[in-house]
Amino acid sequence: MRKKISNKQLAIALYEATMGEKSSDLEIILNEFVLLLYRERKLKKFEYILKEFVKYAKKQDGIKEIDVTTAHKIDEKTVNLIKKSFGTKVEATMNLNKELLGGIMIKSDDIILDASLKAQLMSMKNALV
Amino acid sequence: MSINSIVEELRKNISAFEKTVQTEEIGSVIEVGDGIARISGLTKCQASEMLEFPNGTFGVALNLEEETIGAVLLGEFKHIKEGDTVKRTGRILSVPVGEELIGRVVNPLGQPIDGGAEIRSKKFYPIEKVAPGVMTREPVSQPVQTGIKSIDAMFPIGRGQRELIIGDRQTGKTAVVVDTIINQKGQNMICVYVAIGQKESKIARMVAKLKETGAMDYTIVVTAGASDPASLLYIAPYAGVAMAEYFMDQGKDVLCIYDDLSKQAWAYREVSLLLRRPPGREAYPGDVFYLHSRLLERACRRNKEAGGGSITALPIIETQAGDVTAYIPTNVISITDGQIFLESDLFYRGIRPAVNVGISVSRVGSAAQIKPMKKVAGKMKLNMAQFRELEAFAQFASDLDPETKKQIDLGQRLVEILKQPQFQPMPVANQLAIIYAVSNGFANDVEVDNVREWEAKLHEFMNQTKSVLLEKIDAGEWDDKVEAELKVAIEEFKKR
Repeated sequence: MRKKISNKQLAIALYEATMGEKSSDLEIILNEFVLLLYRERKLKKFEYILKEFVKYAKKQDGIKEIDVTTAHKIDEKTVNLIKKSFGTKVEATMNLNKELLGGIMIKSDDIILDASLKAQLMSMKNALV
Repeated sequence: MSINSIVEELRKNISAFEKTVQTEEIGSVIEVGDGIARISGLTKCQASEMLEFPNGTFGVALNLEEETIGAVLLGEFKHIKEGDTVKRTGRILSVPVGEELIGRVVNPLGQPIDGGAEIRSKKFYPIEKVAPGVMTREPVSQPVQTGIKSIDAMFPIGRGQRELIIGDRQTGKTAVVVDTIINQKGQNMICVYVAIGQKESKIARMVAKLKETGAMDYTIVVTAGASDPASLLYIAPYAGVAMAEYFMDQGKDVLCIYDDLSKQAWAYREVSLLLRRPPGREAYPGDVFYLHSRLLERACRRNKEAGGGSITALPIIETQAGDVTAYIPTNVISITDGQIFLESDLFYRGIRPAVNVGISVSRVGSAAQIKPMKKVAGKMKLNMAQFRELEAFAQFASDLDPETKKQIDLGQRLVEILKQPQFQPMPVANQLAIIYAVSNGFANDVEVDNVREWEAKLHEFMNQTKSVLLEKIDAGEWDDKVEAELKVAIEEFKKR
């Protein structure tokens, strides 16, 4: 059985192939890429490949993505402070979730920093019961 | 305790509580089904680490691949869907251990399923552990008294031995081990019974019997029933032996029973195939030998310097139509220090326990047998073997020469005394008395059909009037004087 090519592998391949090429060549490369997707029966998965591509491209450019969830809206100054602590190039997505009760939860890649009131209360419950 | 003191206690606890910001490593489910989940992310996950799924379901990471992790789910998985977050726990799969577990029925994760109180054990042992090495071991020297005449006399089991019990379905395999557990009362032994893929009704019946006989006071029952997911069946014996290891570390002797390992092999085959590991012979994965060898290798007798203690393993294997040359039976036969074959032919002929004397062996246990048993039962196996050869001539009894006839008579009576009803384990001294009596021809004038009745009367007589002699034998004393005493006692009984 031939090993399936994963979405991530395709995304990386596309990135490597298109990086630094002239815009006139881009069209040819993209054409070839779509044909490759057709051969591999991956056309349906294009959405996911695109997602992976964006993720990979950002990683290569040193841009860090973080997901910030809070219970209440926070002002621009605090957001910038959070961004700063994660590095220079940071893209933050802001979410609101009332269930956190208070505090903040930051997700970056595979790691969650949980400083929410809910998590604190849960751990207190575990310590007491 | 007054309300104020409770409040005070709470205050103290809360002020002692430290606020910490938790960082958690997470991944997300990309595929779930048949008790298996594929997860992306979790880049630092270890092999056989516990993973936490939503709603408190746990899983174990078994396959670490380039992009994904293959994990088996331990328990209910209907609520898990694609995209769910999975957290690392940083803990290798482990179970609670300790005295609290004794007398309880638990699942392979150590959670009680007998409706009793929560088990609040502070100690956890990983279920996979490397077996004790060469320098920490010593040969078996103490017997495990099963209370079953045919086993104690001919295939003795020592503490730290691994003795396989093998046979078709309905041949009394479980009966042998349940009798053994019942007979451990007062023998300074803790028993761990691991039930793998058994019917819940069978477990319930067995636990009730163990309670009735008082055997639950020193027994832990670990059960992964027929309706539990394959992953639980697969880890059950490792969980059981981890619980046993705790007691061994306290210098105690433990008896560990795996009922049965063929079902565990099936469960492991199921998990492996779902994880897309390549199948081999009989569709078992390549490491199915290692599956059993690493489990049974953990049975051992440790020397004093290493803390002492022992784990005796009694694995059970169910064969299909008496075929012991199938893959799993041959594997386990080669791993263990001997096997007890139970045969359905014998079972239906009324010879119960249906031990096949010809092909059963115990490779190390004779070193642990008590001295009088060694002396008296030594000839027994030979006598039985000779009898088997002559058995076919038994119907021509009138035409046989006296020597052959004598051998057949003796054999028929030996077969009779090896029959033993279930749940009636016998103390070793009584076993010895009856075997001595029959082997030395004291029962030759008793009709074969009446031998068992005669035996019961002999035990009654011995228990009532010769208890001092029985105690001596039980303590392992055996010389001409004790033998003469026993002889006199039997003659005295015959005169009555």
